[in-house]
Amino acid sequence: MNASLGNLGDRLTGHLHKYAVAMVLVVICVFLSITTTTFLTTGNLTNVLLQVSMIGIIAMGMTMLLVSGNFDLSVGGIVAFVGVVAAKTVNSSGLAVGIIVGIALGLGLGAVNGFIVTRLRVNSLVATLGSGLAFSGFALLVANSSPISLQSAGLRELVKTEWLGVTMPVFVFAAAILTAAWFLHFTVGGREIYAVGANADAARYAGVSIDRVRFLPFVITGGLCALASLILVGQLNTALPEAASTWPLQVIAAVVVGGVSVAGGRGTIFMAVVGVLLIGVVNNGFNLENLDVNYQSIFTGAIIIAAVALDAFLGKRAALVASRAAEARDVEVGPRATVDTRAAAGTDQLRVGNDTPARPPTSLGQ
Amino acid sequence: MVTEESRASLSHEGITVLEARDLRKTYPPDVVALDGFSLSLRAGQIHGLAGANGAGKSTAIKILTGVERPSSGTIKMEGLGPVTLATPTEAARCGIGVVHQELPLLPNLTAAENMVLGIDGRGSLRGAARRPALELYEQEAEQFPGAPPGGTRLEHVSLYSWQTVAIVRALHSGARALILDEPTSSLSVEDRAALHESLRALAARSGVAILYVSHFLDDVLDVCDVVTVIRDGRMVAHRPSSEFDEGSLLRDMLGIEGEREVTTPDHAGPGKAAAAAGQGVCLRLDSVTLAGVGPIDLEIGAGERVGLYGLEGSGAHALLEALFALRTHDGEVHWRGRRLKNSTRARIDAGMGLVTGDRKRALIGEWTVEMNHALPWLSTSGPFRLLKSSRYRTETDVTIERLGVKGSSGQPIGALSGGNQQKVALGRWLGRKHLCLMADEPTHGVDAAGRVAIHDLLRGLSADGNVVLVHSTDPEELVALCNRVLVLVEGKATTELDAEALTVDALEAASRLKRPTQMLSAGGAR
Repeated sequence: MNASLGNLGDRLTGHLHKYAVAMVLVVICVFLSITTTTFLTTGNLTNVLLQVSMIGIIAMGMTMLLVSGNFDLSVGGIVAFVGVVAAKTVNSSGLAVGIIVGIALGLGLGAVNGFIVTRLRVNSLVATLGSGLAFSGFALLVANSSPISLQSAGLRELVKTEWLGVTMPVFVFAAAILTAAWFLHFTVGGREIYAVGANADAARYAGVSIDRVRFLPFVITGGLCALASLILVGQLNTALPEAASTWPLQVIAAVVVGGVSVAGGRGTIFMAVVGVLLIGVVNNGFNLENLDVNYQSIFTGAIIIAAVALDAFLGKRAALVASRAAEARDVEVGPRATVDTRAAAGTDQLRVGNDTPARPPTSLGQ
Repeated sequence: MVTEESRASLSHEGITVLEARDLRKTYPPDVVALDGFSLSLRAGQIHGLAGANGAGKSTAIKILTGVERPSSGTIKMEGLGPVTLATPTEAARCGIGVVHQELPLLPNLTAAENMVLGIDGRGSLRGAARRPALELYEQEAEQFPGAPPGGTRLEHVSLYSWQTVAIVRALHSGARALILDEPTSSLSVEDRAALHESLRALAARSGVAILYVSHFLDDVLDVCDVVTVIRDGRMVAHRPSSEFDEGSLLRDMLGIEGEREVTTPDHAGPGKAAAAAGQGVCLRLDSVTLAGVGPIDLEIGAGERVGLYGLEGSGAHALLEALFALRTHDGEVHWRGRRLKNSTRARIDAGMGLVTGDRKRALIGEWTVEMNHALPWLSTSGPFRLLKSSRYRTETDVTIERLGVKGSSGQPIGALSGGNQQKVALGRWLGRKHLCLMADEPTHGVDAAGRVAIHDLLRGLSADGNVVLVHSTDPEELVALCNRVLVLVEGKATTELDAEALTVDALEAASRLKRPTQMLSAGGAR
């Protein structure tokens, strides 16, 4: 059947739903390119990427967590704790050992979160709120409540390393994006994360080990926090025990703005990246337009709510369109189906003559 | 089957409460769901609506309850004239009440609170408001024998009681036309009879017009005074139920011309003899025990189809879930000589599979057919292995072809009809050499033709030497499907009925007897 106007509108709604936030990002970029002379310069754009890189790296893990149906509010605590431990280790045992210890600690703290949620059955919001507080406390304890300066410039130089005008953190961010997209969208484990988030019962019925699937994103997020923490320490040349306290909400805001569902089962790495960039570009825009920073929080807050509201609205429409199509298909296929099934099943009790009027085939939904 | 009193009310010719005329519903671009459907509901009558999946039944209900608007046609309510039902609230205001399969009641409130909740603009009842609501409830519930006491919280009562509360709630909100959508689908035989009895009493006493929509032909014929058959969006038959039998009703639903006999298939295929001649015991349950159930011992040979039957709460359902390790249990389960670990994964890998009528729990509706088909097999490799999309598609296409699924691999599975979803859910376990398939209400929410097809599939599986274990609350399904049935009463296996002894009457009797009797079971409980 022909793609009628109604059909086209329905399809448009589907695409709108997928790319609404990306279009908002494009609009803001175009607006800033026109109203300022500085936005569309290599220097400024690489600066934006650098600024969002740490939040962005953690956002990749947070996306997996949200898709699996969990949260992590402890990412700030992990970043601070890993930072001071890594800085101390770098000072005492050298750069390589410091990096390895930092990443191992990040993975370990993520595993602690995973254990609390999947084994002790504590709601992830509460579990990571608690563990985040504890991690921050450990950070202060280990650092004796004062900043730890790096005694060698090794980490700082590593973080400042530039290639094609782009610094190391941006490359790490890019690598995190690619790896996360590969894992979440192209591997068996990624698909199981979606299954558990979309319908845990269905996953259980199919023999998926729910706990194992839910555990992994916590560990991945912990490791990514460690990477971000090392970048932060390198940039400042110092580990601050009270660093990153606002990061958990910043990361979740970016991911949610992008369109990743807090209800689990829906959302992509692409969406999360768009969300991260959107927050970065908005912050950059406020600087370039010389606006009062206080408006920035208000605007960002409004964008978060608007994005989620838009998502809910378009999602509802898309669901409506889909259910209508499904129903229409049911009606269309139904009568034929009953006849064909009997024929296929080969029951002699229900013989059907050839005179059963067949309906013309339909292309609906194919 | 028409009782004396319902025949009497038929001759009364009560006033027409609701009259829908020439309802049409089209979905752009060119799908016609309803094509001039008319229906009139008379006061004091129970009116059956029967039709295969996709015939337009659910569209008609949606229009009558204000969920969807008709493309054309009129709905008249007695005393109101033509009405426009733009929203469910408006339909309720016009006196149309509906009770769906899923009951939107709150378990933490009492029956009386659930009745008035939202209707009288009140929430939970405290102090002074509690007494009048209780009195109101008792008043309404009086019309409906079988309703639980008003002060009982719903979390403590059975599914049947939930349903009665939902009906009382609809009556309380002023329903003069009451639509019951698949009211008996999860009820035991006993509750089913009680519901029917209550409905008859309600119709006779209060003059409410009842529209009874059900897949179960015997239920429709048992309780309804008149039956309308809908097919292809049109009314194709409308007669007093006494003029129908199951065969003629099925013929009308499916549109089979002529006088050819239509019968439901009886138990055919390899019986006990074939099982005995098979390769001995495949599945062995050794003192399987779980909360309130067991210890159960059972041995099943290759090629057997064994049923588990019991009333609600008997543990038959829990036992089946435990065998798939969806519930933890004590005791041992052996499959082909190996003791199985207490994990669903291990049991799937060993050769088990489960299909359930609760498809919303077992399938991911928004996922494609092929990903649902592949879901059990993802875990077999490590989490970092790449998805093999083309292989999933090929395997799904094999299932689609083999089981005659109407739908394609790339569609969301939620868009398929219940029967087709079930075939996919079943098909994903096939393709293995030795399968132990567990079927939990396998034809729940599936139309008559789909039922036949799924039953044939299960028979075919056992004929190939696989083991099929079925739990169903429908005794006819078990009689039609199984070689023998284990009956559970209060968590204990009391009776085992073999092929010769297996009848609906025997099942119903055995499920109500706490001690096995010689008369019923040749083998007795093990």
